[in-house]
Amino acid sequence: MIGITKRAPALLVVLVGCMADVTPGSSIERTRVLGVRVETEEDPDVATPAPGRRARLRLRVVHPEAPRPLSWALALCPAADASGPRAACAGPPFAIGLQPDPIDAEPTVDFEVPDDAALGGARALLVGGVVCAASNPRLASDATAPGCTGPREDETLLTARIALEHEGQRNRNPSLDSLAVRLVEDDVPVPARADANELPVTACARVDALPVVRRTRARSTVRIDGLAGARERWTAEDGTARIERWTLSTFVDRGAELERQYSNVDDETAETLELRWPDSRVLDPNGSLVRLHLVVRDGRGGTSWSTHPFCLQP
Amino acid sequence: MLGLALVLVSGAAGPHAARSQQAAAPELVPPRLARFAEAEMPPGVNPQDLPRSVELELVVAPDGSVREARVVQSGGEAFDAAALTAAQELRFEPATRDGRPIAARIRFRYVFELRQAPPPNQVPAAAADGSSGAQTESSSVSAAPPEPDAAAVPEPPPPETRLEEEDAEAFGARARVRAPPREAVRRTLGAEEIVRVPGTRGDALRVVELLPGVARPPFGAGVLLVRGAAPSDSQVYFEGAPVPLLYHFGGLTSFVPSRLLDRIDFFPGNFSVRYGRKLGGVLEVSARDPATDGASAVLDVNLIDASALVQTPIGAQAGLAVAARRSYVDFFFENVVPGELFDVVAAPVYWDYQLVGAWRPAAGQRLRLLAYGSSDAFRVVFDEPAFDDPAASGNLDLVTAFHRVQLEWSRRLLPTVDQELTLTAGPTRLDFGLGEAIAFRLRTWLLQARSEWRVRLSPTVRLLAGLDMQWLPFTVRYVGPPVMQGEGSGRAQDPLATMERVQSLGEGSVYRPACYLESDLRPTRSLQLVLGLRLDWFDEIRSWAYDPRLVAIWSGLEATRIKAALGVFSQPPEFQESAPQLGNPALLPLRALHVGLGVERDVAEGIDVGAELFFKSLSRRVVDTPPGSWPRLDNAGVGRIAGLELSARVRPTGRRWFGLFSYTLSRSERRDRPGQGWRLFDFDQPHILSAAAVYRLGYGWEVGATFRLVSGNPQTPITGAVYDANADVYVPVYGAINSARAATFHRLDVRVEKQWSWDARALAVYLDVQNVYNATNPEGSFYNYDFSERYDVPGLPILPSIGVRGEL
Repeated sequence: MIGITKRAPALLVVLVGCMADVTPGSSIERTRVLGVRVETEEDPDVATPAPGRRARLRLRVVHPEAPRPLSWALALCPAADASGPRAACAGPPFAIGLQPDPIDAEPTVDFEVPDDAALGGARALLVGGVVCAASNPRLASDATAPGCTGPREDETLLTARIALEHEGQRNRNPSLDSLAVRLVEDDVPVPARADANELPVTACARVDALPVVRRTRARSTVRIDGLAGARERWTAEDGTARIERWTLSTFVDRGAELERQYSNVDDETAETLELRWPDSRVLDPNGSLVRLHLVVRDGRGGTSWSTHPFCLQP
Repeated sequence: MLGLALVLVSGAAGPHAARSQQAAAPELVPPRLARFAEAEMPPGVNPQDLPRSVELELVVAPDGSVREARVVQSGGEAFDAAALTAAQELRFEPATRDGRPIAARIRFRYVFELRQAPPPNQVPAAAADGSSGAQTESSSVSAAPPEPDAAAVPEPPPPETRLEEEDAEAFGARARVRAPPREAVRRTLGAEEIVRVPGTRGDALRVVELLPGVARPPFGAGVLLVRGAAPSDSQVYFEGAPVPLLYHFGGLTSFVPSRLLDRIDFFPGNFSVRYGRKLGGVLEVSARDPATDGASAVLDVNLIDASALVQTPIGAQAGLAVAARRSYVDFFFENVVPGELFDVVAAPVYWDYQLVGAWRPAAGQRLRLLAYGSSDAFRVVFDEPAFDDPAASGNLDLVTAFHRVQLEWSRRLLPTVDQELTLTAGPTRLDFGLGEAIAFRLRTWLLQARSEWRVRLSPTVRLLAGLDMQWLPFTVRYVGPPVMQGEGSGRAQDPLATMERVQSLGEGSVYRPACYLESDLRPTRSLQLVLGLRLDWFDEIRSWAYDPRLVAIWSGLEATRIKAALGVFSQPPEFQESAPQLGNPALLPLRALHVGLGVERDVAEGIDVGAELFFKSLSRRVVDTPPGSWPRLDNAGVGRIAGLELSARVRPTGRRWFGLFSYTLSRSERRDRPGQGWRLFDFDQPHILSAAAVYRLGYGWEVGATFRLVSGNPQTPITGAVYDANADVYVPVYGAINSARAATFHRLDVRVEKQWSWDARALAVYLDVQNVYNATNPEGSFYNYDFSERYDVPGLPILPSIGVRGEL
């Protein structure tokens, strides 16, 4: 029944696999894309561009150490109806964002959504391509077969579906204005910083306004407040009123480990998760920069992120 | 990890108590018929006077000859004389005690049913059944051609077999001889295989995995994989009614205790038209009749579960057996598994129960009432998403439960016509949930009526006719990804978070009537032809299926049977595949053509070997339609399976050991759509080798070993991954489906037992060690979040189990 016989061993494998010594998804150990966000030209908080209007695609890319120069090749096309994890284009690409040589910037693509006639009834766009760290992107002439000239571990193939404004209904990217992060046991607030990627990863104790935490225990608790109340109410196609259901993705670097990668944001006022510190011996005596990355998705195509750095001293 | 088993047996001393002893401590082996001798029909017999039976008491000498014969129940002077004359020509494998041949006194019945003498090839060849699973083959042999399935013919229970030594011990084994199988391949398991084979922990149904043609299921799957067929293509029957479960929790232990079993028949292909709606193989599990000669009770307590079996006679012609079992896995789960991992709502629990009542109101009649059921339940709740998949939050639950009440009535309508009627009813519950991504809730009732008539038209022509009606009212709720091709999709690692979700809530009923007719023809003395036709109606897809089948068996050479078989088999699509809201109600029944050619030979006393060639052509497999098409499923898939099975059973007379050997060479391929290439089946295992041997050292010591060497299952390699920014997961990029293969599985299991006996009491201590040399045997692969790291999940590690078994 529904492949239960195949799922059963798969579940066993997964359960056992939870105990396996593999890199957890919440640990940043290589250059990673953590999210894709769409901002309309009129209002960057709106994630659903309308046909014929301009918008910007932004990618959140983080690094375990100092930033690496990035290049990318990203193509946008009308999306076909989804029926699984492998989305397909309903037509040829209408925009390609190409950065052939690595630069010190996160990928962005400015584009104009085709009008309704050109969309052919599609109610979403599909973006697909590759982001390369310290190498150059490859893309076939028909915008397929993306790749990088560098090693495989520096290549991120990605895809994202962009919902379009439909019958005047817009979706806003999640608001993180009231977000507050705090290390509970140390009672240290850890505010977000826009320049977190550029901060020095060693000797961070001298960085202005950077919280300092002394590693006095093996684990600490991270408390995240201010997410639940910001969720949007919206009306589904069947007319029912709904409230967004958010998913919070959490990541950390410098060898620290988080209890989990995903949290459901429901009516609870706070999310807590355990943070396991790296061994003191790997920490810089003058402090090692630890960055806690949060990415919030509203389940309707809206995405927001923030990075909360602090200096960890042995 | 150590397991401790304690078996306590109590009850009335006497024949039946000894029967229990025989099942548990088979040191005493009754005689086994090695050569049958026909009885001449007395001249001038009036057909109206038939049938007649003569019951003899024979003393079988240690050399297997009949030393003495006397009539204990007369069938008339002429018949008595004919039976006594023929009995002198009978030859047996002698009874043994601790492997040493001894004399035995048995009862043996000749039944004179027809005027013409039977062909010489009517010698019973199949391994016998027997209460307690005893390996007995004696008595009740017909002078006429034996019944196609003598076990199904109601007859008064023959008396017990007794050994004639200083301390004569009662076997209590009800001895019946089963006729030569009409199926091309029929494998029947006996007591030695059931109880003593290492690595099975005495579980009868686990021994099935050692038979030729049976592939090794992945650890924890607990499915039946027969001759390259998908798990859903084979069916387990309990007393003729399909059951949805073979093992508790995917292989822990079977759903019915071994002590309640009468026999297990396994048909890997080309099975009779009595069975339908399946393409693969059939496993028929039969319950024994309760004892009518004394009450007894068995209590079995070990670290995993506890069970009890109580039997009692009710008058002289009826008996009742009640058994129940419950696991305590929940206790360990709640106290051992870390609580912070998830909240346990319902820890793993399984239980089962059985009730068997039998009544023989008159000669030739038998009424049986069975009630049985089984439940496996497990549920945990994850507060937050787990498994690197944001959709995997909520609950993880699995419930499989069924209950059945069954009434069987066997009777002889006319001297040449027997009827067996079976009515079965009971609910089935299947729940499977994984977070909010998948929820499957099925409630269904099985209502089945089955009636069979066996007609002996002449000595050379027999007919079997039957009606097989199934009605399955159901309610179902489904939330999850669209129903897709189950086998060969190659998408096992897809994250749930990226899948489209569909919902369906419905109720209805499925009506599947069928009728069948089978003729058993013997055009010459050495040729048997079984022609069958089965007609099925699958109401849910409004479709008929016509399945003609043919088996030819030639016994022209001494001790050799050459078999050829050809047949068509049909199977309705899986429920979810044809459900209007989920699948495609216009699907057609799946079809398979089975072709078989085989030979069986008794190469020496106690040694029989066999070889089977088989080929199966599959058509109308349910597969995915091209992306974007609607409906998502159609019948465009085909398949082909070919193989060779070699088997040997060695039970040398008078020796202290026995052995089983099987080897299967096969290849199972599928093609999913026209124009595509052939690929390997998900569970294609080209080489399957099993060898088991048990040796009695003497002084109560016994050692045994089982070795298995099996090709690893095909795997679909992962060549990369694409980051899905909407779901924050990586979607794997697959290579060619099933183009890689897991490592070869190999395992050695060893069992050592020491037994002490005092009269009817016995105490045994045993050590059963699975995977003695701790082979890794990876069962699957686990990947990290972006599929750049792979971790092979090891299989069952070395697992010693120490047990104590006592019998009173």
